[in-house]
Amino acid sequence: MGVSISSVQTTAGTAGCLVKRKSDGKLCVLSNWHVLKDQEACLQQGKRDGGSFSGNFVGTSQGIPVPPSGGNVDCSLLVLDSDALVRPDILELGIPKGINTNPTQGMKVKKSGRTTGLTEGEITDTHAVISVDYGDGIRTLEDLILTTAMSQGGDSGSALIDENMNVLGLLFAGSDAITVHCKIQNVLSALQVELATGLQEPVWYSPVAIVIPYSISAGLAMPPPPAPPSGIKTPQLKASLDKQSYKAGEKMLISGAITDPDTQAGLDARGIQARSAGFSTSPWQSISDKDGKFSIPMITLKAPDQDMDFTVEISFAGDP
Amino acid sequence: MTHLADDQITFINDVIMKKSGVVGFSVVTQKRVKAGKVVDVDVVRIYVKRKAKPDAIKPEDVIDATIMGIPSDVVEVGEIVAQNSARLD
Repeated sequence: MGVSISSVQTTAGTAGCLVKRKSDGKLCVLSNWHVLKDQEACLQQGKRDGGSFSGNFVGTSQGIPVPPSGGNVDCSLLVLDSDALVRPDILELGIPKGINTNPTQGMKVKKSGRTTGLTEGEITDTHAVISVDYGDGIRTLEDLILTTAMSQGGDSGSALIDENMNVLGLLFAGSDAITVHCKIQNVLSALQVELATGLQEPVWYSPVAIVIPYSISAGLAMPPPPAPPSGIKTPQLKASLDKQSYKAGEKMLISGAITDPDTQAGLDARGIQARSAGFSTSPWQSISDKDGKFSIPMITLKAPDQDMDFTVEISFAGDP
Repeated sequence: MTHLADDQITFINDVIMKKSGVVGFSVVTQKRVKAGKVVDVDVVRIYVKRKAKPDAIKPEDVIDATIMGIPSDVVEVGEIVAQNSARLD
């Protein structure tokens, strides 16, 4: 969420947050009608950002056209082709906890959107009527939240979030001076959906590497690595050599396991590689063993005649 | 902060919103803000694209100092557009 989406007929806006259809519990992405329209194929990235039907189709829109008379919402759902296509967290913000139906003047707010990313603002009006230029005509909407300017074109569809990670509104319009949002309760009610809650934050692992001195064959304790950014775990990596000494041309096996530091569950890694000066570097291989176990064969080009280090490096899909 | 009466909202919709450059209003009264300071006077906020001196605009587009008995506060907000990325062109 917080990233570029569009329908095949529009340019690009923002995926706001995840909601569930009340009728069948179906997971959907919330955005604006003028971003997704109604009954159209939807793309992520949006069309303006290079999205095409062949490579970026993620679902179909179900929207409420904003009539010339206005109303109080500009909203649409992206009904996902598969729940696995989305992450529940809003980029740079996290997973919304709930909704806040009581915005107040002066309240500090933020949003994460396709064009300006994470921005902050302050509520200046909680009961506004505003005429918005849609390009094909002016529509006057009511019961809107106004904030200080915190958006540009392409941020439409962003969720307006309070300081406690509750959703207050759905950004849809703005100028150089203000940003305009529909109230979240009006949006959820119009679309017959509720905020999707109880979703799990995805766990991200930092790349990790350890060094195995040749003279020691046991898996060894390394000094703790620097703390990764919050929300990213440093996985536990253990590795050892299979023998104490090797002859030239002999197969050398580095084996070990990569696990979650808290749960000890084995991890799927994108790539693992071992290397050492004077030795063939192993090709990157993936780890898919459910216990996170791996073994990397290396050929000793010459018998090691001095202490040396073997470095084992692991990276994960989506590494920051 | 008081909600405007129905007849006040109707008047603003039918008369004030028809004036050139007016893009919105607040349906609740606000305290007036003068030179960055809050003054204890309830006003009805009228949002306009650009503020201008009364003698620079047509007489029929001038916003009355008092609307249905409530002092008006004209706030400049610029041109408000739907913010899909077509607006970046």
